[in-house]
Amino acid sequence: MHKIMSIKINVRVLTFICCYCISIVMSYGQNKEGQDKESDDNQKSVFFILEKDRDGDYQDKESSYINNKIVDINSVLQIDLDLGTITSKIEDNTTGLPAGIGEKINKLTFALKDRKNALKVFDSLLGTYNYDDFKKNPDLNKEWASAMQKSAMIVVNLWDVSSYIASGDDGNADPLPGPTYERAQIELERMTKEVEDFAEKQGVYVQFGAWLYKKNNQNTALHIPGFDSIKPQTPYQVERWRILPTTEQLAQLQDASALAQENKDAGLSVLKKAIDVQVKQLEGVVTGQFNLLVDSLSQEVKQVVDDRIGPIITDLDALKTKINSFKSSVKERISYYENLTVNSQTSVIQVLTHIEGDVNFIENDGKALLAQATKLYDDIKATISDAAILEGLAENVKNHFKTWLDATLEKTNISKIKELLQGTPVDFELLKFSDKVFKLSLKDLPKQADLDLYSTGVRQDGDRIAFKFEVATKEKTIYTENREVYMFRILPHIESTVGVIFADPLARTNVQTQFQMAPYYNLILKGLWDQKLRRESVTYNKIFNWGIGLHISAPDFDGDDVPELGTGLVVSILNDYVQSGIAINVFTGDPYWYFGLRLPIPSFNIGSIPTSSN
Amino acid sequence: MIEPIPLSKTNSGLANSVFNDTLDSTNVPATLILVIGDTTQSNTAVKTLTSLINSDDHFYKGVRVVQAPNIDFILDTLKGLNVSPRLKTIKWNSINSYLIFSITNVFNNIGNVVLASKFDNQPKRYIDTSIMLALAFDKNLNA
Repeated sequence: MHKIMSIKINVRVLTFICCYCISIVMSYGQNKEGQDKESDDNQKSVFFILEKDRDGDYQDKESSYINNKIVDINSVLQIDLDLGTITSKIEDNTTGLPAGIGEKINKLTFALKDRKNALKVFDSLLGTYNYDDFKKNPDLNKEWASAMQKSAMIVVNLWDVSSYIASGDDGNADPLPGPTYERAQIELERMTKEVEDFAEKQGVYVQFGAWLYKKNNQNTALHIPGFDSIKPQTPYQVERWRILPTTEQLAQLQDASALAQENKDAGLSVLKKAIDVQVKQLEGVVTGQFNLLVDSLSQEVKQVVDDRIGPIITDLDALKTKINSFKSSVKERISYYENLTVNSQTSVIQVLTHIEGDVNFIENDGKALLAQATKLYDDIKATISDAAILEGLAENVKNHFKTWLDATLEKTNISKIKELLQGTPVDFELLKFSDKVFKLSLKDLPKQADLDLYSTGVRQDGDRIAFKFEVATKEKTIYTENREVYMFRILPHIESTVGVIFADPLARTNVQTQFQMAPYYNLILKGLWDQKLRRESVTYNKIFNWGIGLHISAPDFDGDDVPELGTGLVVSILNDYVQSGIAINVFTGDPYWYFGLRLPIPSFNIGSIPTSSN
Repeated sequence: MIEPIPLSKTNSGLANSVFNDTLDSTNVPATLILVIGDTTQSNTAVKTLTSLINSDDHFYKGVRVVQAPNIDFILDTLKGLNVSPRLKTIKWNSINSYLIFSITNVFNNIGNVVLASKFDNQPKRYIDTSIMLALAFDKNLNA
């Protein structure tokens, strides 16, 4: 009965985590959509990126593979430059080009790309017209007229681009679709030449570059055919189907085994020890020196005889009130940990949720408090003269609190959490074109290039390709566009993880605690059903990133210090931060369920160990 | 042989009745080219259109020609139709200066108008343009 209850509770906990996680992913997804829309409104891109698979297929040319923020890490990126938009950028920043020529080039380019299809549709609609059928069935007629309206409007819109397209040089040109498209082609070539000649006269040139931008912010300039003479990186394919552990993982497995052996009978109390690190750090602000510093400052303010001390006293009182409130909150948070008993999987999850809440509280309220203390110090320095002691005390309060805050945030590693959620921004200012990147005139500008991601060298999930496009003259930069594209393994692949689990035997064994720590090796299949989502959301790839697979672990249920072999199934969510499943000890025949945890907080890296192969 | 649809030259009621029936796409599911007047030029235009409609060119399969010898009879109905936003204001007081109106199949919008003074220079081009514009603006212009 107890075991059944455990499983039920475990399911509830995992469900809670899943829901929490989905809500985060959804909210980030929504933000992303909002941002994307805003950026569409504000700026039209001068280049398109189409993700192609290695066979060169266009998969679905219409939509889902164009201009995604995420691409498969082993794909080929087809880059198409948009001359119309480039022209518009030149037009906006120079004088001499006919108004709206960029937009017209855009319209014509877009229409001519679809020329074959548009003519086919128009002709096909004419062919399906049937007077008698339409008379008998008016709905058919309405349907036909509606389709024809859209098709004919495409042609009429072309007439509006220029009088030449509408009626030719002599004003007697054929208005039907075929001849209209022929004139549109001629007009596009004429406009393009006009822009190229103008750009040449003005000394306009274009540079386009790409960099592999790694998670540690290191970057490597990449070769884009036709745009530079940079040597391509040694071809590298990110492995999708690796089943055997790497040398690094084998070493980690040894560490995990040692950790498990050391804590074999400790059960979940090992988590409690890890929590103590957090508690000690939190205590720093509510005790000892900090209180003395604030009291001293308060006393010193009363000694100052100066007309301008009034506002300072008011500010100090407000700061003291805030400090007291902050300290009370911290005390309350500490008391939670002091009375904590970590003896079940539910309490583990509760603790983790509390830690996350503490981190947020310290970051938000702590930083606000520091800003207030800093302002008080600045005000004293600026308004009260000959008050060196007061100034020194205010500075001490500020500095002491800052030191505590920095140390606390560093220990809880808030930046890692943020990086996990949002990623670090690419510093495009640092990305400069080398002399190997060509300065191309519009005439020499390739309209299309393929960037084979194999040629970008060694890379990992979450690394980015940073693109920079610049239009310039000798005198000034006319236009700059930066873009980053994330690379993840989107197509189906296997990821392996190594670490320790907490195993809960579902039968009577020699294990004294409810949970026993054991090393494991998991092979997790990902990307089989969620490729669309993986292409849409960085957060989904970084956080949710779920999979199912095979589990192998080495528990020691008979307590003879010789690990047995356990095998089973694993479900992994939250980028392998939570892994859980059911397995069987093949030597003793005992079934067990287990979970492994890994949060981006150093003291909680208990569970799977992140490896470079992941 | 698809014949032109003539409106009465002498009977206003009859002219309106036939014209309204023609405008109803459940009766005539086609783009209409209304030729104004009973002049030599009008008759030539009707003849040209009839010839095109009965040709092998399927561009004209969905077109029917209506001749209104006395345009005043149906002027009010014509004025009541929506006009394509591409067109300049129609001079209803000088209705006889026009030779051709193209009217859309389903929504009965006026897609294009051609002045009698211009038509003879490029008759086929004006006809084709009028048909294209009627096809392109067969939509709810009030929306």
